[in-house]
Amino acid sequence: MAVSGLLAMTIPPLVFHGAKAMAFLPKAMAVNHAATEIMYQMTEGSFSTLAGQPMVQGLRFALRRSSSAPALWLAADDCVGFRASGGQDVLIWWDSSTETMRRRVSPAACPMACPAPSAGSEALPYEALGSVRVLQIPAATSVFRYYNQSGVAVGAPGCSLGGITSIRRIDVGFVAQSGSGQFDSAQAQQTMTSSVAIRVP
Amino acid sequence: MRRDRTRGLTLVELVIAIALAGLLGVPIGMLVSEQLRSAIQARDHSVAMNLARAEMERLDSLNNFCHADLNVTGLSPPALVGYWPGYDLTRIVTCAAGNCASQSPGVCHPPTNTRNGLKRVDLRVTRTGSGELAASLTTYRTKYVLFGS
Repeated sequence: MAVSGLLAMTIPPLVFHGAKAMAFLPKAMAVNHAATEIMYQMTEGSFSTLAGQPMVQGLRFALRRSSSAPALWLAADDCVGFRASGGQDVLIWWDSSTETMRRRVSPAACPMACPAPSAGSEALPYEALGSVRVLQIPAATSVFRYYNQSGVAVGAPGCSLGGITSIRRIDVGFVAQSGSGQFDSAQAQQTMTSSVAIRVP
Repeated sequence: MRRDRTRGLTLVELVIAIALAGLLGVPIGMLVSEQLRSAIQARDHSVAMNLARAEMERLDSLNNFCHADLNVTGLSPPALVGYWPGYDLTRIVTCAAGNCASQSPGVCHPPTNTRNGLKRVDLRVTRTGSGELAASLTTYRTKYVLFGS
């Protein structure tokens, strides 16, 4: 009786925890893959499904357009527009309604609605088929944060040429998660942050 | 003779059942545990690597070779504990070549100054508490030239 009682008390929680872990693992891997890819594709670039754009360059390739036009043409809280070294004008933004990071290649235009309409854009990562949600980091109020050459944060200047010209670095941060992101619900969550120096602003 | 259907398990049967369950359960448990550990390690690695990149980009974007964060630290400076929730960062700046003595605060000497030696910058991101190394990056900096790695 004592042995049976002991088994009855210990085995169900172990089995339950094991089952939860089994359900959690594929989600953790999917979230990790998506978070890493989103960050990489924003900062470095990647192949693309956009019409006529087999490749889209990332923020690292932002390059001054001319002596009077800086590399960035839009620097807002949740979207950034830049000219890449290959000549593409790339817009990357966080779409709060679909909880995705999106990008498109379109002529530089400022002011621009942000988030931009999703027509003609693609979600990141471009190969995503899963349902990983992208959210702002709770303690932050934006996905993108901007810094000058002294490393001091500058408020998102939007289209202000003076403000945009002072930007030397962009911090990117977001939370990727499946469902609620809670392990107790067998869901996974990952907070990612990185940074890109704008070398030819 | 009919078997008594109300008879329970004997102790021997119970022990054999527990042993069998253990034989099956232990490897499965170890497998799940190992998979969980791998998933957490993968997450740690990607988060830590991006943190290290963020710090490296921050140092690269500073248009100030005399910035305090680029002063020579020696080989074991204190870690920046709580650099990011769950992660500490250690910035190790050593002199790779030339004269890397600290320059006067607020004064950046011209390129001809002898204190413009080649600095090696190592960044190490570790887990808070355990001190387990999650990512490391290295670069070299001198005043007007950047060597990536």
